[in-house]
Amino acid sequence: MKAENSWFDKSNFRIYLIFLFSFVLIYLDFSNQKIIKEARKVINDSVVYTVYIVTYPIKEILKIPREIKTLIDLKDQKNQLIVLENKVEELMQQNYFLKQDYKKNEEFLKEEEPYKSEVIYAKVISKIDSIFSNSFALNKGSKDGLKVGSPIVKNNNLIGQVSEVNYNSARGIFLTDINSRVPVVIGEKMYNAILVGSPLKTNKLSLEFLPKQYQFQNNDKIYTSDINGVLKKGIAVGYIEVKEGSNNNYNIYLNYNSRQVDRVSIFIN
Amino acid sequence: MSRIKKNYNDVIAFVIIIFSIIGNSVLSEFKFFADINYFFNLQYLLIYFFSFNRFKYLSLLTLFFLGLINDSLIGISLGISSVAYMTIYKIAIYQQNIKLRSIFISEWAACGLSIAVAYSFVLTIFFFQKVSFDYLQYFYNFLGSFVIYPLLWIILKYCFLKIEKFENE
Repeated sequence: MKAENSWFDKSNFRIYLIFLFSFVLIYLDFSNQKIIKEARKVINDSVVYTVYIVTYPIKEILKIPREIKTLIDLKDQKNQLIVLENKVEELMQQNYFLKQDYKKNEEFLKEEEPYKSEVIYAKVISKIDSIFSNSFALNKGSKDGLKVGSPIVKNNNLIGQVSEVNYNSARGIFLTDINSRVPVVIGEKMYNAILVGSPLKTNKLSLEFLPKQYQFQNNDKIYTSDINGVLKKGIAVGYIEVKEGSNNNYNIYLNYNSRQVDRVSIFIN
Repeated sequence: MSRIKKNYNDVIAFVIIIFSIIGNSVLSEFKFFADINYFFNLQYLLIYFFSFNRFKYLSLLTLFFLGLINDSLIGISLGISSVAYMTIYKIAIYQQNIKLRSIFISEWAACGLSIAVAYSFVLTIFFFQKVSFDYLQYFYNFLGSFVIYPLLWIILKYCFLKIEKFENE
C-alpha cells in the first residue's frame, strides 16, 4: 500500500513512460515534424469522420423540433405564395414584371462581381464551441484544393477562415475564436482595423488597431480588407451598434449566426 | 461506492466520458449548451470523479487515447489533453489512496488542485506555442468547475447508486 501511494515508485515506470511519450508527441507536433504532420492529418480525418458518423443519429433526432417548426412556417408561406402568384400573373399580363426582374438581375450581377472567384462548397460535419476553440470541421481537404487561411463564406458573409487542412477534411475557425484575426474596413469613413475573437467581450468580438480618433455611427457596416493579401476585399462581415451616450462604446454584430451553419463556400483563389 | 463495480456502471461511466468529449459537436448548436462549456469543464470533472471512484475502464492508456481524440477534435497539439487528463487521473488516484476516511472536502480540494494543475500545464504549452488565450477565461472556468463539482458529485452518486440498486434487484 505504501508503495502505491508514492509518486516516485518503480511500479510507476509505465506511467512515466506514457507521460514522457505525450510530451514527446506535443514537442514533435509543435515542431512540425513531417511524419507527425502526416500522421496528424490521418488521425484528424479518421476522428472527424468517426465523430460525424457516431453523432449523426443524435443530430438528426435533435433536428426534429426545428423541422416541425419549419413545416408549420412553410404552411404559412404557402398561403402567402398563392396570393403572390396571383399578383405575378396580373403583372405578367402587363409585361411590367419582366422589366423589373431584368433590372434586379442586372443589379445583383454588379453586386456579385467582387465575389467572382473559384469557390469550393463544403459541408460542416462537426462544430466545437469550448474554452479551447470555437471551430468547425469541413468535409473537404487538401485533395479538393483547400489552403490554410482561405476565407469561409455563407450567403456572402464571412464566417471564418481555414486553420488546418487534412487530406479529406479541414478545420475552420469562426470569427469569434480567440485565434481569429481578420483585417476589416468599417463604416463610411473606412476605418482600418483588425477584427479579433474575444471570448469575454459582448458577442465574443473586438476591434484592434483602430485609429486614435474614431467615431462610429449606428449600423456602420464591416467589410474585409485585402491588407494582408489573404482575404478578398469587400466581403461583408457584420455591423456596429453604438451604445447610447458614447461613440466609443459599441457592440459588434455578425451578419450570419454561425451556430446554424451547415454548408459553406470557401474561396480558394 | 464499492471498488468492484458491476459492468453497467463502468460502461455507463465510460460512455458519459466519451460523450462529454464528442458531444460538444452535437450540443454546440444549442446556445445554452455551448455557453455552459465556458463556465465549467465537464470533461475534467467527470474524469476526476470516475478516477476517484475507481471505475474499471478508466486507465492511463484509455485517457491517453481519449486525450488524442479531444486534441484532434479541438485542433490543438496532440498530447496536450492526454497529459491534462492523466494528471487529473493521477491526482485523483493519489488522493483516493491517501485518504483515511471519506471526507468530501478533501476530495473537493484535490479536484480543484487537479484542474488547476491541468490548466496550468495547458496554458504553459499554449504560451510556448504562441497560441492566443485569455487567462481570465480559464480562471473563471476553473472557478466554475470547482464550484459545480459538489452538484455533479450529488447527481452522479445518486444516479450510480440507483443503477447499482437496480442491478442488485
